[in-house]
Amino acid sequence: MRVERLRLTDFRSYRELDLTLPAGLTVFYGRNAQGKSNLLEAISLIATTRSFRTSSEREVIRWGAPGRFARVVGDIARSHDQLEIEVILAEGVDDATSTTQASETAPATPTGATFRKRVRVNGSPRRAIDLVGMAPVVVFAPTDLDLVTGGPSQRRHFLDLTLCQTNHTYCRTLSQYQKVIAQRSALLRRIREGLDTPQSLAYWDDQLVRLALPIMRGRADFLARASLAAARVYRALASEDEAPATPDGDEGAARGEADSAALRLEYRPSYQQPQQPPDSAETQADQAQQAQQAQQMRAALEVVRRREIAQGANVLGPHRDDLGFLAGGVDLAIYGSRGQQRTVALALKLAELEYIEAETGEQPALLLDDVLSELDPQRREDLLRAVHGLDQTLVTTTDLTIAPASALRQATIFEVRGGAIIQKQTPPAPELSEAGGENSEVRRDAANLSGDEQ
Amino acid sequence: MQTTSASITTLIEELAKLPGIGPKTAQRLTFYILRSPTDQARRLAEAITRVKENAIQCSICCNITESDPCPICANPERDHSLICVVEQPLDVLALEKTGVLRGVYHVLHGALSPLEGIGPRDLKIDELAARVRAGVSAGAGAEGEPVREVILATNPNQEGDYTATYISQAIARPGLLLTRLARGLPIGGDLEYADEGTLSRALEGRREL
Repeated sequence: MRVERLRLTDFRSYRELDLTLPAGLTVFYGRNAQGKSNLLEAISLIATTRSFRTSSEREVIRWGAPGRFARVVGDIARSHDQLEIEVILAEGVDDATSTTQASETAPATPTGATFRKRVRVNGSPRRAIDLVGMAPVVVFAPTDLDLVTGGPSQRRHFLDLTLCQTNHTYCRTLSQYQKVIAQRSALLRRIREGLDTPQSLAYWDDQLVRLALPIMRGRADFLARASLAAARVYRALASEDEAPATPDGDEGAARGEADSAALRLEYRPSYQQPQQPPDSAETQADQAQQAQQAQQMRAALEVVRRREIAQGANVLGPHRDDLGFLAGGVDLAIYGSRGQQRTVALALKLAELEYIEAETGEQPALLLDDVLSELDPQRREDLLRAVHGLDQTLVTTTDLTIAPASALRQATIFEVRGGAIIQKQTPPAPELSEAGGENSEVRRDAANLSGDEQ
Repeated sequence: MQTTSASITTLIEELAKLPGIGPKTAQRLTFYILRSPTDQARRLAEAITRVKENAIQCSICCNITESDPCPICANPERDHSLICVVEQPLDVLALEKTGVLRGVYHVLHGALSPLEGIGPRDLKIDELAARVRAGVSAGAGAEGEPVREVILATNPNQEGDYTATYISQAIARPGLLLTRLARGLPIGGDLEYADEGTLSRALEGRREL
């Protein structure tokens, strides 16, 4: 899918914006705080209903906006249809709309004012959850570079965001699960303080198990499939590393070896399902197996019961899961170089893109927010080569000169200055482009990469 | 809020505390009251005072009433061996509108929620257990007759389900039928507009024709 037109009203630094976006690679450059990332944020908002930059969404309303609301409208071209998605974030809405239902769905704010999100698709109102997956995007921001070394919650967030964009049931299950563990941990604390009895846990144990197992199955399925794609992308990106490395130097050779060793994503659930005997999986009916798994997890909760009450916290469940990255049996979070860790993060994002496309039939738009400056020249080139041929890639950067020249030649370039967007270059039309060495080189590179894919 | 009259400010602030009333509506109501005839404003004030002074809790069903026992509990035409347990007095009104339930009620005044610090002792659960244990002697029904059925009509959400489960364990006894309201598609609704959760529950609870 791609965003053909983006209209903003009082969104962040933009009072009013109407921008037509082309297919392929688009680069926005400009100094800091000129409004580059705001564009990508707006697109992520209509794709996921959330901002990837902030959890406090009222921030996106332009400071001093007279109507105290921000509006984002995106014209989306999908493989088989056209959508107009509109998201309005409004603060302190007038009384006509602030019904009791609104106060239930809107989070209470410190000032007591209400804050509402309204979604329309082709003009008709929809719930926020209906929007998820309609216009999928993959966002790659500087914080994603810490995906390998950062905290487990960041990796869980990655899993959840990907799965939520492809699977409504997962999304719903996850949101119910989060409510259950919040209630359950409150109950554990009440039991510790003698306000409730351990018997009260039975209901919440049932709920936890009922919701945890599908979440864990969803994550394991995704990782099994994304692992292959990530390994392939990783190999394509990491093999380039070997070229500059000195072939006779011991260190260089060792690094090259670890790089090219197959990347494997390892699911590390906080609750490990007991291993099934290999033959029993086939003989058992699916439903019977799931019932058995539920029973086993309930038993595991019994085992940790006293610890959970003492800690006043949920010890077992997908909210404590983690994800590991192995190359040649080596844990890259511990032993990988910083460059390798960044390559893994990159590979993971491109694998996410492939997975979403396979699941939804819609290729997500790729949003690269200020990541070029965080990568070394080789990886910059690898990345832009890897995204060549995607429906739509939007890149922001403070420094146009660091972008590989071969990729830039094919790109549409905008300068963003003080909230104004000035088109600097349109990509050459295919028939008009010179049959120069550079262009064909790019195509050859792309062909190489797709060769790797087979 | 800066106005030229302290009493206007006070009224706006008090009205804004009501559920569903925002600051704008509170202002509008305040100035409506200001412009309306004096005796109309007084009637409103008296109605508010009276509802607090006269409303008491029914000693049997814990519903809000002006007479004890409440008209429903005092009605001999009602089936006192059938108790419908609800979270709020408003739920009684909603169920009464159906005219289908011939039984009586029990109002919990909330649902269990560990997160909000609402435990069993904060609700009228002990009262319900005592009622079931004592049988139908307390009401206007036949003496000593046991309670036949308790319908757990708490809300169809996690807190409501937890409350129903908790109560069913607390009051279970031989011969007592415990039921839960069915959940599924709304009448007059459209299948395609139902959310996945509702639709899957409707599928689970499907009935043979």
